[in-house]
Amino acid sequence: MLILPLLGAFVIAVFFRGANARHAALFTALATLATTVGYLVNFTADGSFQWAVDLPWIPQAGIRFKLGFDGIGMLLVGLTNLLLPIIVLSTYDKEYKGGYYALVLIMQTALQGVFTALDGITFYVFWELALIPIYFISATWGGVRRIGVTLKFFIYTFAGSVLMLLSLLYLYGKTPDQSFDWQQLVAVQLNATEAIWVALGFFVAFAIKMPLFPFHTWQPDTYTESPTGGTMLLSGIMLKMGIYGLMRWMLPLVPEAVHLNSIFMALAVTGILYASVIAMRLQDIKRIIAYSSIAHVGLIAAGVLTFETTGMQGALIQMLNHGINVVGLFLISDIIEKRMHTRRLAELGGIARQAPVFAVLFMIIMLGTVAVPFTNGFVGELLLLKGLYAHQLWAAVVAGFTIILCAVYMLRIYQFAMLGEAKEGAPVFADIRGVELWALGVLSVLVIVIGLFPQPILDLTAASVENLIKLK
Amino acid sequence: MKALLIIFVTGLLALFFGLRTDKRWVVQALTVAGLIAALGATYYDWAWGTPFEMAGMIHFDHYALAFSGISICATLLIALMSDRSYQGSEENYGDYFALILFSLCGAFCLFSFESLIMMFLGIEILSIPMYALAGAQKDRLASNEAALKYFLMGAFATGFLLFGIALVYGATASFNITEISTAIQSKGALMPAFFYVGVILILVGLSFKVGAVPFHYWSPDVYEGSPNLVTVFMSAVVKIAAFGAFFRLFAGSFSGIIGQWGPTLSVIALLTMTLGNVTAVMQTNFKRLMAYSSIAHAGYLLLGILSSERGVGGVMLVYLLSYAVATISAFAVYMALSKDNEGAGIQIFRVLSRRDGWSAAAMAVAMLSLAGIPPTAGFFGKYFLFAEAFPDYPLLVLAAVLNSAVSVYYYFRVIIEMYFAPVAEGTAVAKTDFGRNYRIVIIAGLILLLGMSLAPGWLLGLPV
Repeated sequence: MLILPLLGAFVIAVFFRGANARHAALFTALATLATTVGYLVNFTADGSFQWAVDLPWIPQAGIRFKLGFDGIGMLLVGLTNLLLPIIVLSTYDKEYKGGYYALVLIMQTALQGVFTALDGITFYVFWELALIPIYFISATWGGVRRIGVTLKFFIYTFAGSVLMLLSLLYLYGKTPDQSFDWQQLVAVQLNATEAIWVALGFFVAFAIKMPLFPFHTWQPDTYTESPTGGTMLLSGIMLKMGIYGLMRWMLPLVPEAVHLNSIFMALAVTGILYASVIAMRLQDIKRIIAYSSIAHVGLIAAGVLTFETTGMQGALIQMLNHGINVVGLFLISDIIEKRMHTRRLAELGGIARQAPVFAVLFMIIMLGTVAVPFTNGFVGELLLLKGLYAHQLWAAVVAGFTIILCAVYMLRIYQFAMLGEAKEGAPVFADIRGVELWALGVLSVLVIVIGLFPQPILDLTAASVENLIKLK
Repeated sequence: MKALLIIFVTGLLALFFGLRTDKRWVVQALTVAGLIAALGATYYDWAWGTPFEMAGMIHFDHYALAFSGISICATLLIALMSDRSYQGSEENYGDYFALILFSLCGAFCLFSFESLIMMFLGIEILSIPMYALAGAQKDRLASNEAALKYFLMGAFATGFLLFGIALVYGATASFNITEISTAIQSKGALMPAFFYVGVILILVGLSFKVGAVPFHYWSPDVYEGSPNLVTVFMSAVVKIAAFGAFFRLFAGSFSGIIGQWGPTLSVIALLTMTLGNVTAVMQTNFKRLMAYSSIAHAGYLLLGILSSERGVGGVMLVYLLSYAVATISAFAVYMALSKDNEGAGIQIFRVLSRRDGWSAAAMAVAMLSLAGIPPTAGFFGKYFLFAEAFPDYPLLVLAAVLNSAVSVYYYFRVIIEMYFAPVAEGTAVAKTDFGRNYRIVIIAGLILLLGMSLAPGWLLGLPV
């Protein structure tokens, strides 16, 4: 499953040119998805690590190439492989060359590696490996200001990651037989001062990746300047790397620093308010979605930081939902931009009348984002708020604003762009069809299906979450 | 030892053939054959030979053989691309190969010395051909300036070094590094103060050679002024040699008194990496950029010297190999593009991705490797080095990793030029003609840099 996209990437980079490349990429992505489904069917959700790969890599330094799937990893790998075909589909009408698809597929391998790695250095290598293709994607095919913006993004996240590497190194030094194995790193006991520094190293890396306030300054620019495919990868999957990192690496490895969580949580909920307020005032649709992403990720991070079952479970299902919704939203913004040649709300209007199918699908995905009952967002946010409420009342109160404020800015987009009269001289908005319809349709169906039947997903991760909580 | 002899004889032959024939490829083929033979001999000694030892002067142990091996590989890559690109005066290309090979002989002495005298000789044998090579373009002012600066600074460094050696001899009555180490252990705190002065002076002398701050001022000018090929040799092989000696001496003799020189070297290391990186950010000339980048790398490598009491040469080996290969492959691309030795800006790489995809990819990998980004060889080099130093110098390692984040900025400027630089609409992008030899070097570099990440522990685990 991990090797498939990498192979596809090489084949595409070497053999395919032009339109064939995208077919080959779609084929690879679908094949990977099919394999994933196969794995998912055979998966037993008992919290153990399955299909483990464990090879000696650098035995002299206690580094092994170790991967394994538990419920959490399986969920996120599933999300990655589910979104990938959609991301490939969304660029079907663009003139991208083989290189683009090769990079996207390399990215897929790296992301799966991150979500399944059970060795510190394996994790770190995949973590950085994911950064290189997205940098090239965004800097090659992005907007006008792409070069400076992406360089800032790269250096910012790289600086964060090396701090994480130092934290890992410190823990490694404390293991009895000098190993980077996850189990062994978990077993390390630290005193209070050490724990604070190690936890900070991890937190900065993950907070930059998500991004949490105040480490978010790279995010709106990068999301806006990246091509839509890149933005989808960044927001749909890559930001989950940060949350996943908190869940699998920071909290279990340094439970001694759990008292810092309230500070981190304060940052997370501040970010929610801050980003929501900004999102309400913006004109550019893509930028609004970028800020909404900061707000949502803040809520998810706060849920993880409770380090309790409800919060963690809510965070997991909300990671899946956020991936689906945000990819849908960016796709919508791309569709609008393609037809109207602008993303500014003031210049849009009256689309719903011209494109009823589009309007319905947009509505479904928007409702999912706003977390209306019977959509996927509702399940996740309800669990998250419940978890937060049990943990810390004030955090839950502030975080509760997400739902209200989110409704404000999402409905604002809908109202300005879709309703009302079309502007003078604006191009006619042709309704969606073909690949656009497929991509948006699949996402909308998922929004409703997960909203109605969230239980299988919660069951998938329940045992693994319990295992992590035990490490507190 | 066999390798040393082979290289020396090849050097002499190159000198004669250079006079006798006017076909460059003859001399080049001879050099390449000699280097391959030397590599084979080194491998033979490693696997089956008994360590060669002579009168307490030279000892070809596994450490010496491993470092000889990587410096031969680096020289081989450089020799391969020498046919078109040596733009010294036309008559003396035989001298050029001979001098490179003689310089390599000096490097071997630096990896294998048992006596401080031999180390001093090694440094001189290494440097004197380099002084001549730096000034090979007699009619170019910058080249003359480079030679003069390099020579004067080198002479200063030698003075420090010799004075230091004399003081150490005065205190311990020996030039032999093992005996010095024993003397330190037996006398302990009774060592006279001038012994420590001697150690610090040796440290200063060697810092000159590796280009550490504040003894680095020669290096950007010399790198820029020298002919391109000489610059590569300087930044790859001479660096390996200087660090090989530095590590051997300080791990072999002085690791017992790290309390005396450790703080000084920590400050030097911190300054070197910080200044190197911060100054590199402001460079627009590619050769100067690489000069400051090599200063920055010297700063990281000093961390390896600082943790030398653990005595693991493998860490230095991995780092130096990955650094040398990345530097050589970056310079190979640069030299293929630049027609003369006048320092060109990094704009020379503009839209290389469309002019020649493979060499752009190789250049990008080389830059990623120098910046230390996984999964390239450079990451593992940095990782092992930092992991080694981390328990004793956590703050220094913190500074080092933040510095690598800074270095991303200037390495990526090259990548940006190659891949993302805007071209005016409708400009035809001409394919660049890369010679066959450049292509071999570039592809070899690409394979080495990516391949090393599959089993980076192999080099690390060598018993050096």
